[in-house]
Amino acid sequence: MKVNRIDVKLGLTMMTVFLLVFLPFGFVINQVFSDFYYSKVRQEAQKVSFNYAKILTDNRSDVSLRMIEMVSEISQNKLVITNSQGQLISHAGVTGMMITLPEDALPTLSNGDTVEFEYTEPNSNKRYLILGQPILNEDSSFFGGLFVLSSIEDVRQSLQTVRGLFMLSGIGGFFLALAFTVVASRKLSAPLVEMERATRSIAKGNLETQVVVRSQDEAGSLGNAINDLSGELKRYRDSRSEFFASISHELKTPVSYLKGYAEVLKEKLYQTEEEKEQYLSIIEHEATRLSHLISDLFDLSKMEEGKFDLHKEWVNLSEMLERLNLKYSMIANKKGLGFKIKSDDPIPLLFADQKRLEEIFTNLLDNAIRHTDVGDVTLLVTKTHESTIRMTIKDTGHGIPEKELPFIFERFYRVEKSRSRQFGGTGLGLAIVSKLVELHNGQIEVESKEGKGTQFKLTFPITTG
Amino acid sequence: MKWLDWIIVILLVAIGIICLSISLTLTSGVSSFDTYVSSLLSIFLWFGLPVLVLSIIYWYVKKR
Repeated sequence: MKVNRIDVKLGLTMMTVFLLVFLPFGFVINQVFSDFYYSKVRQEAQKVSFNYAKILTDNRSDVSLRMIEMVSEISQNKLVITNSQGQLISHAGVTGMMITLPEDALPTLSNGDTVEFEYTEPNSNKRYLILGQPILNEDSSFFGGLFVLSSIEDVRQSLQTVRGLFMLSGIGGFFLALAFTVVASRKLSAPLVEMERATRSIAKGNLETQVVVRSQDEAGSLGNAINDLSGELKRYRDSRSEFFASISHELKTPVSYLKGYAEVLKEKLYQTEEEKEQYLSIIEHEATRLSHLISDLFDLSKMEEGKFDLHKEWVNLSEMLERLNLKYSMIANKKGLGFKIKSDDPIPLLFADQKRLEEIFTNLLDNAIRHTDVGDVTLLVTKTHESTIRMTIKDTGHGIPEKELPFIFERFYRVEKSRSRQFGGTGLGLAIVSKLVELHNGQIEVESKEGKGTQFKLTFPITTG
Repeated sequence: MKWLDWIIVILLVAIGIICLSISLTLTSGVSSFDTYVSSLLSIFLWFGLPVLVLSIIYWYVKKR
């Protein structure tokens, strides 16, 4: 089993945090309990030793000594009374015990302070807390010490039981925390693991892979982004394959014509001069078509690389519209279509690359006439704002399905895959238009209804640097 | 999570709750079945409360 996993790391981190809190907490609880019980024993011993020492200080007679011994035996208190040299004067309940006083006990008592130390009885291993109080003479000089022995064995045993129970509770808590850590770490890391698998699968070329998005948070957003990315990649791959198929076909057709008719001319397989001229015209036409295709590809490639230079100047749109009117009225009439150009008078000059601007119109008008069987093609030029000009190319043609609209400006995208080739399109025209408009800091929008027609709206700023 | 993971989790929770309830029963000093059940119910209550509160918070956050 692989250990270097995100859920294992997350789980270890959570358990470390739990232990970091739990262990110091357990230590403090243990200390609080120990101190609490020991301080109770200490307080009791202090009270008893202080009272006995006070009695002996006030009235140190044999009667008092015997009375204290008796009371101690009844109350099961153990005590030892020594003189200032540490010699035993009296005791109660300590028969057989060998208690050695610490060296500093008597000097401390002689100073009027109390002493406290622990003593373990060697035979029974019982532990006692010994508290010593000074006994003073009438002239307040040091007479001796009174030591009360309090057993701390019961406290120690109680504390051990409590510690054991705490430990058991701690183990229980640890297992509960571990269970929740397992669930939390698995649940939290699951989307990440799934996304990692999905991206690996995408990287291997399975572009149909989708991440199941279960939440609307950052993980969900990342999942959506991966799905979008795989969709984009799939479309790019499909579009590229289609491009290669399309471009090979587009190149193959004129090259076949060129090769075939060149061979006919070379072998002199024509009968009249007129026939020869006809073949030469076909060769010229196909060569021109080939040249345009290569030129379009070259331009688009330069635009996409950002190496395309525009030669901007102040362009007189009226003159350009006149040229377009002459050219397209004839083409439209041949097809039985109406062609109209409407514009504001006067039209302001536009700071643009004249050749490329004309290319934009040519592409859009060619498309409009190509895809319109009946009706009109209209070009409308208006000044919509102080600093912008709107140009609208409208046709009454086949229209574009709504679901295809977002993709029509992509390279090699064809709305009608089979018919486009028949119409002579390469799938590059609108991509070039879109790039050129972008390079002129303009905007292009498209509206279309199937069977009703399409209109392209172009907006250009009048003055741009 | 696979079914094996859930079994492990359930086992861990069971061990945890048993440890806690034994500890609580021993503290009371009366080691009877009734005391054990009572301890177990108390622990379930204290166990269920945070789970309930956290579930409500989680549901609220998810809704928003």
